[in-house]
Amino acid sequence: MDTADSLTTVDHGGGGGTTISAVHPDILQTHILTRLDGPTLASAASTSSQLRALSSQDHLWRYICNDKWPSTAHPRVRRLISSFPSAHRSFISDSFPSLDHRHPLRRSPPNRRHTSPPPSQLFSAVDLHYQTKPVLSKALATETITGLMLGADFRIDLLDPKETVPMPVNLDFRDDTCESDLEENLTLSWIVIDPVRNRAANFSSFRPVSVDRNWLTGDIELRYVTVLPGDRRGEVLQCCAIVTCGGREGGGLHVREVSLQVEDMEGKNLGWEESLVILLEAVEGGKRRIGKRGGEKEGYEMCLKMKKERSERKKRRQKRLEVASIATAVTIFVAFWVFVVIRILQFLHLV
Amino acid sequence: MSSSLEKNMLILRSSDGEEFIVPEVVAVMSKAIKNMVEDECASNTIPVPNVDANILAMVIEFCKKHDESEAEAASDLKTFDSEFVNRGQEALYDLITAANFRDVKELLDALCQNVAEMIKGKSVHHIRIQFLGYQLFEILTSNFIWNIWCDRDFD
Repeated sequence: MDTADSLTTVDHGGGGGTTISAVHPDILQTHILTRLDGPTLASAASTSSQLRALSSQDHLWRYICNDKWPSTAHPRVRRLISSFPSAHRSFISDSFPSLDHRHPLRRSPPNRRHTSPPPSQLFSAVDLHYQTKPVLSKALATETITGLMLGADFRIDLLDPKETVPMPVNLDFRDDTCESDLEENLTLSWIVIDPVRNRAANFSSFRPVSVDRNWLTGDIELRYVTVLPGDRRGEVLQCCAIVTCGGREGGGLHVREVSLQVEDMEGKNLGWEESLVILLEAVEGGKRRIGKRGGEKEGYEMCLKMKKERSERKKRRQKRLEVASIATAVTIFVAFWVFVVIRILQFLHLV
Repeated sequence: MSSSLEKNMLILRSSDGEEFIVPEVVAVMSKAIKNMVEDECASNTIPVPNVDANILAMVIEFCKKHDESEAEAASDLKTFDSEFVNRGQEALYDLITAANFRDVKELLDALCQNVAEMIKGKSVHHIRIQFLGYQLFEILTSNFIWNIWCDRDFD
């Protein structure tokens, strides 16, 4: 970018006076930059050194941040964000793009991972939107120590067991279109903040990658999956944020459960210790996707494909083993009879 | 309000000497002029430095419309606003400067909103060409150099 900045000093004969620098910097900062959305502000900031200096004000980014994720307005989260290297700007650049599933398909080997103790608390800022209407915004601090001590399954629950949140729209719960409607419109952002290293990452795929209806209770379960690299090549883990919606007596929908967990390829929940390490690794070193949204589902499909391939491989191996064992059995059987026949022939011959 | 004998008419003189006669109610939409009138430090001719006749005429047109249509439907005003701010960049920036200098809040808001809409959703190169007066070849060369720089192996 420096090469480009040096060029701005050249006087452009053709379009002299029509550049935006004709506007007083104060007006630019207080009236124009405040009206931009996040991505545009980011690209405006990288066009010239003057605009960069003007847009480095934290309050510009704070507006965008609070507008996009209302949960970040929580005083505790705000205090955390203010200790980030360049406050809200770093936070946005960490959490706005989704994690890229294509980048390393393998974690760094165990001996090269740094093993600092996990933070005693893990912060989550969660926002659920139906189209543009906020449904639920909550900041949550999770104690890691109890989970680590108990060795329980890793799971962060946002809502208390009896707490429910009504949906702002009137949808018929029993209707079949309800599922596709939710899949289309219900977006989730789950930002995990590491309070020690001052980093954050968004562990939701923004739109659900799968929608299922529970056959027993009829609840609709939406999964927002981020694919994370596993230990071995070709192995992946899924970080699932799950939103469960149930029906209400008076009609309409409400959100029953919002939770985050880490699963391996078989869908088994990983324990606290491993999950924490994986999440924090992803927060710190996970590649963020550059460009537009839309690849999340593809990542999930890749994961499903890998899972299928894996089970097929397993099946193939089993089949091969089966064939081999049958062949062995047949050989032994034949050999035995040949042996017997030969003995009989020998016996007859001798007689 | 004013002790002026001009039957509530004020004369505004632009930087290049042209004079505009406007009703006081229209002129005081500018906070700066309003303050001058209230302080009674305005003779019937108010100099408006830094703003030339062209721009001043536009500002007055805007203020007049907003003053007249106070009773009219808001949607009507909106279409007028959107048509009004639909101008070339040079005029737009001059208008912004004038509106800020004369402190006409509605105009400034409408103009800045328009500029923000223009920038919204554009890429870095697009903004550079459109708003910073870059030429296409500069973008291409800088991009070329930048790409070579980025393609280096850092490890």
